[in-house]
Amino acid sequence: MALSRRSTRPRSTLLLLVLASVTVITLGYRGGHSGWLAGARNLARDAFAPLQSAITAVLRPVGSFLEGAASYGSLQAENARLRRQLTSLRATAAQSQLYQRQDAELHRLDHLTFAPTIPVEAVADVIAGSPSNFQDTVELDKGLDAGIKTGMPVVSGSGLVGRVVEVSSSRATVALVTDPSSNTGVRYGSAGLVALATGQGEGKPLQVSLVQPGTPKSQLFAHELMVTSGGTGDLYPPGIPVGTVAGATLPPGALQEDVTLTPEVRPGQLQYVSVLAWTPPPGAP
Amino acid sequence: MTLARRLRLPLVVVVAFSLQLTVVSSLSVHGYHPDIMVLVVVLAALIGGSQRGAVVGFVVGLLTDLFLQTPIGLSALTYTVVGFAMGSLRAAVVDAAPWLVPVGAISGSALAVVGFALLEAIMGQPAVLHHGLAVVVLVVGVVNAVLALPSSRVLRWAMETPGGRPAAASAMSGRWGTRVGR
Repeated sequence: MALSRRSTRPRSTLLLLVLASVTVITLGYRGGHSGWLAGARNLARDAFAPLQSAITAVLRPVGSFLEGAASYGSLQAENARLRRQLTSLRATAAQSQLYQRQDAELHRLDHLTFAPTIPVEAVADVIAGSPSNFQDTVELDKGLDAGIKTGMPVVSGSGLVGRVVEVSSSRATVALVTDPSSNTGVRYGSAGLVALATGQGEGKPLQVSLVQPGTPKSQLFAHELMVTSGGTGDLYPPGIPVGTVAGATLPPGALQEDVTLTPEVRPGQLQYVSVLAWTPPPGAP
Repeated sequence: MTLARRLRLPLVVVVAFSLQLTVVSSLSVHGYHPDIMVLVVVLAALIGGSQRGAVVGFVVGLLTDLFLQTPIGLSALTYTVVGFAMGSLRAAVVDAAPWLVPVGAISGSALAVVGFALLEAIMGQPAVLHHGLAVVVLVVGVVNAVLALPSSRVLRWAMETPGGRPAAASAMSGRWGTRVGR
């Protein structure tokens, strides 16, 4: 009897936890972005914020050092003293390169060549990526306290990064243009033709759906820049560079070209970004 | 059990999660990154048994959900099932050897990745069921298999009872769970 009770206990626990998970999923769906579960999300982000910042601050110079060290090639023949000296120089050089890169990034953010009429709400540091392989997001070190709101576009010096999808008092989550759920209205060519760029995940080009019924050949040229269209109901203001055309092929029998776009921004190399003081019009998807 | 001992597992989970958010998520292999939180769940289940594995899976999943845009509860549900399944695997194997730890890490990782993708597809994101799913399974599985044995020492320390054995393993003396990482 005691043995039977012991063997059924894990199953009861499993059942209880599965029911709890399903309940939480249901409550999350009903509450949307405003329920108490959304509050719990914000609380968790704020609670982890100092730890995240500390780990990022400690590990970023280490990463830069390793990056710098790797670029020097093989130095196996050097003696121990020279190696120590070299290691020290590498660290200095890597640190210097890091500072130069940061400085250049900040300079570009201060002098954005696009969206000149839209003020910058905040310049933020990218401190973390997504814990999941099924979404492409980054975490910023600023949130509501810095004036950041859900829906605001996020840009780097070279173009569109994505948009804010979650914000707590000290953190903001940005869904990148490469996220599979991300759809960006884009414009290209001298005639200002409109298309839709959809993310396919990190490291992959954007898939472009051309919005031109009856014209299978788009007359796109390689490396043509596509910018946000900024149409009515769009998620972004017009004129922000999204990416350049990587390829355009017309599969046999297809009515539309298969167009891919290389994003202007490489999410893996992001450090500083600007959050623009612009929110999509009510009713935008 | 003393309070300090009880806090070991939460501490390990918090440290692992912080590393996942900051360091691991920035490592990219073919566009995908490793997932050490699955490893925490798998090892907790292999060491502590199906019940403890399910509980750790639920808590770790819920914590992960708080940082995702997907509905809260999806990871909790996936990791609960993974924890229970891996704990049951340990119970089913009579003369298990240490090499079963990496094998468990690979199979648990595959179950977690595919299970989460299926649930997300059911919840309205069918795009996650793409050909890259196999690469995700490979990246997460291989990295977790490599990390499994050294990490099992940390998890054993975190789940140790005053007698010096993991909670569930102490009730199953002579079984594989007591030999992991030693």
